[in-house]
Amino acid sequence: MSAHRDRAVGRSIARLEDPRLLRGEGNFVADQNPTGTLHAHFVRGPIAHGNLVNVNCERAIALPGVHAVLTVSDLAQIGAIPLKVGWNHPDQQITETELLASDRVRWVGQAIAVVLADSLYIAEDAGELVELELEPLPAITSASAAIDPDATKLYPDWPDNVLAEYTAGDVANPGLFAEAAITLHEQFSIQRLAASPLEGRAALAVAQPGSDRVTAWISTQAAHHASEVIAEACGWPTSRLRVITPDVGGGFGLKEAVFAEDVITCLLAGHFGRPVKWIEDRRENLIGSAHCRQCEWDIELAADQDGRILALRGDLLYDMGGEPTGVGIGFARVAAEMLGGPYRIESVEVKARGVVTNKTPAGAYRGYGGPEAAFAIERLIDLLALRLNLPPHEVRRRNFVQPDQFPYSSASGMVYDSGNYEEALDLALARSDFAGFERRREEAQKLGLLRGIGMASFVKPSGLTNSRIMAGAGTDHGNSETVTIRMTADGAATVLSGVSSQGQGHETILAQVCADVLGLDPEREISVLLGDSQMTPYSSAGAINSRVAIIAGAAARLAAEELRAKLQLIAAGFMDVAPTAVVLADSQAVAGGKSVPIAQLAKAALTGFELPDGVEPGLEQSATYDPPNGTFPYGTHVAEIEIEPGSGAIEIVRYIAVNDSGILLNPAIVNGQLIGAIAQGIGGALLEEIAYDSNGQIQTASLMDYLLPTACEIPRIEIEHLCTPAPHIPGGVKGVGESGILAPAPAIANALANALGPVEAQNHLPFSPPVVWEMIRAADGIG
Amino acid sequence: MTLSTITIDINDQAYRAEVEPRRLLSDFIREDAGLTGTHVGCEHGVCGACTVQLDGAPVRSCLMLAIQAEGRSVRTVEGLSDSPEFHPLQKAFLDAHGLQCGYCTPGFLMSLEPYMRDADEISEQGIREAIAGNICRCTGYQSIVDAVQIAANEMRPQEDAER
Repeated sequence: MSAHRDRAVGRSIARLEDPRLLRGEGNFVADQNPTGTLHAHFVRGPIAHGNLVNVNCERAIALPGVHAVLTVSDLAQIGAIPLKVGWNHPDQQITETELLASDRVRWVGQAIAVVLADSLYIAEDAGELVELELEPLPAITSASAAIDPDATKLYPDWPDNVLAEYTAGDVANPGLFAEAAITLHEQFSIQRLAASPLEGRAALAVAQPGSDRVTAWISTQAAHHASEVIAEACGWPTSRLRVITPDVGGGFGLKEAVFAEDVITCLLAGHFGRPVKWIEDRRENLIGSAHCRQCEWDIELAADQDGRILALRGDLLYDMGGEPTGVGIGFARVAAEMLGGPYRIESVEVKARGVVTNKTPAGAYRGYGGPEAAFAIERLIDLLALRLNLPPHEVRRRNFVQPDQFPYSSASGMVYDSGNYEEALDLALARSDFAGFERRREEAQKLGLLRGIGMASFVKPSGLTNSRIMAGAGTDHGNSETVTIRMTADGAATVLSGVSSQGQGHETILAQVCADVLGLDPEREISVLLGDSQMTPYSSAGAINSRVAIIAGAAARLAAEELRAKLQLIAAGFMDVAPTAVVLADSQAVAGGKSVPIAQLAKAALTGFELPDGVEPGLEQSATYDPPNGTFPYGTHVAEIEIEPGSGAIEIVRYIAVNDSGILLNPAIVNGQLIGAIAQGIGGALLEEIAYDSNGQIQTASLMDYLLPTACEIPRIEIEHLCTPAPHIPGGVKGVGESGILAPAPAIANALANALGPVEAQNHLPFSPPVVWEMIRAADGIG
Repeated sequence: MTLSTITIDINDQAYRAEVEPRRLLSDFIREDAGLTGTHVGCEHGVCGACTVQLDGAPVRSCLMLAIQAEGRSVRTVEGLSDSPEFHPLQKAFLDAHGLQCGYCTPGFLMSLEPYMRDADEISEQGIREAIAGNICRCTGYQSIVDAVQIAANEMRPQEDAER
């Protein structure tokens, strides 16, 4: 027999997705052009707030090549109903949103009408001809302005501008604050960001001839969930709509929600019986999809004289924009729940309020509440260290949840699974040569540069939680995954999963998991089919919350084990041994010096010709997995920066990231996820900001104004891994898609404070050169 | 609108179509020539996803009109390798995990190939500057930089042998 193949799990095998993508043979939504396609273009409101008095479509309809121009009342006439919000909280003011604006517009970029035409050029021309009659109203452009009792109400029948609220933890004991040796009271704010996948949103819906069915290719993170939500809004049974996720050009949470444009594309394909295609352009993506992150914290911390944190309490005000997206105030809730970070804090009370403003709706973005919380708590820890005159790592050390305390129930009800937080901190300190920093600071000073070092520790809930717990929290979907594996007569396996992939390499990692169980070659003998609401098994939530490797990975492992059991049974008959003695490896079934090719077993199972007594024909197994709890990857990152005092420009000279992501299925993919998330975190710390003027006009509607980091701003990231397998997950995997994005902003903020001395502005993101320049002056007592 | 009949050579093949003067080169490549490997990310010349080579030099096909390319030679990602084998740069992207979602990748490849051809010396700083006009939202660029260095090592001995 030839040399043994190495196990696939744990190896950085080449990705199965890459050959097609590298040759330009990927299949993104925009790449398909069925004959007779109608191109959709959305007419979007030009003002932030106003009454929509009239929409006149006559001139647009008259343009040659235009097929239809529709408003929300036209959509209602063909059976559409408002889009349901997927995660609702008690007393939430809105649980469904209109597909197009009807009597009022609430943000610049809100869709008002849809044009269908023979080409996108004609559709955009026609869009210019739609006449809007609007009566402007005062615009509310910040959450704090929205809660002013005299503020204009976005929704006249609400008592105020609060969409919903949620309190994490219990009532904090006021005595803890009155009697504590140390109390801190701080405000923090995070700017508005845009997730900015390189491929915007996209949908192509095709009516199936001879039936009322519609097949839609949608750039979404969750095919099954999208099919359910879209069909409902179209007034259709779910079975009428098949949603397929082809190659998706990045998601980062933006494509978790179903959007009105997705619904309208499917609805109109079904109504007109022709393909309808909608490809979002960048301006639409920046004004008309969803923004994220913008919030304000007001937090009090109580600690004893040794720096042990006793209690946290305060408020989180989240700027929701003009209406909720599909995830409601979910990210604000998670931010409040995670304010305690990796620390043992017995009393936490954080009231999160989602507030409507005249800005683009807030949606999910990588991290989902985690980065908001990490920025506040990691700044607080450094401020506490400053007060106590202790090193920042010492205060973290004194407060970490300890290894023998897992599973640890936090004051807000999260159950952290496993790990050694202090070990990650120690490794980060060692790798960054934290102890030797002062020498480097002095060297930088000689060059006229200000050098600082800062750290941030974090823990990131990943993989959602058990479906029943989610039902109690009010979501419209659970957390199970089903994976099916079929074998062909040549002994190759096809793995089917409903999850999609936006670049995470899900085809590859699912193949790796199955390859080891089945003794197959992941690159040559396993193919993976993903993301089809009718042809792949049910995925309850798709590729969100870093859950695919955890949940779909576990389901794939369980399905492969069931398939292996059947192969062992057949092989035992062939070789006259006990099934438990049969090992699958190197594409063979092996027992006691004998072997049979798996292909021969597969042929026997599929033909049914040579099966042992009692074994049924067929070679296909499914398994469903619903975890008892989520996973909690964690770590500590250290950022070392140099500031050019004349300009305020920051250069990150070193970035060390220590992470525990549990078992690594494919280290190169894991490192890619971590480094990519850190790069996005650096972008959010230094460059990216969605800005509005006082009239609610967006100032950053292009990538010339909304600055995404380039290769010149992102340093080489140094990654180190610890490995504590998730004890409750088959395979021991923890989520890795998001955990990297929590630490960069607070680590850089803490490095700024280290370089310049503490300045209030270090509590407010982002740190653009003008802000840092002002910070230097404030630190020097100037200005 | 007046239509013009134009012919553009793409990857050594002539593509002829009747187009409006306003038709973007990116739309001509993707829809009239059916070469969908070239992706459109921003339509205003910032992200670099639509980068192709015009007479050997990288250009943004979303910032050019199709009629401006008449009679000229365009190369897209589909023409990067003229054999079933990968170009060394494609192979290095595969080996170094230089892509995730793959949407920006063709633009990176078409920007990097002339850089590698023309640069006297391949350095990390040089690579980073060569791709400063290409945005990748997935990788943080590190694996792309690594891939270029791998490809440079792969291509060097061959060039030496040719001399």
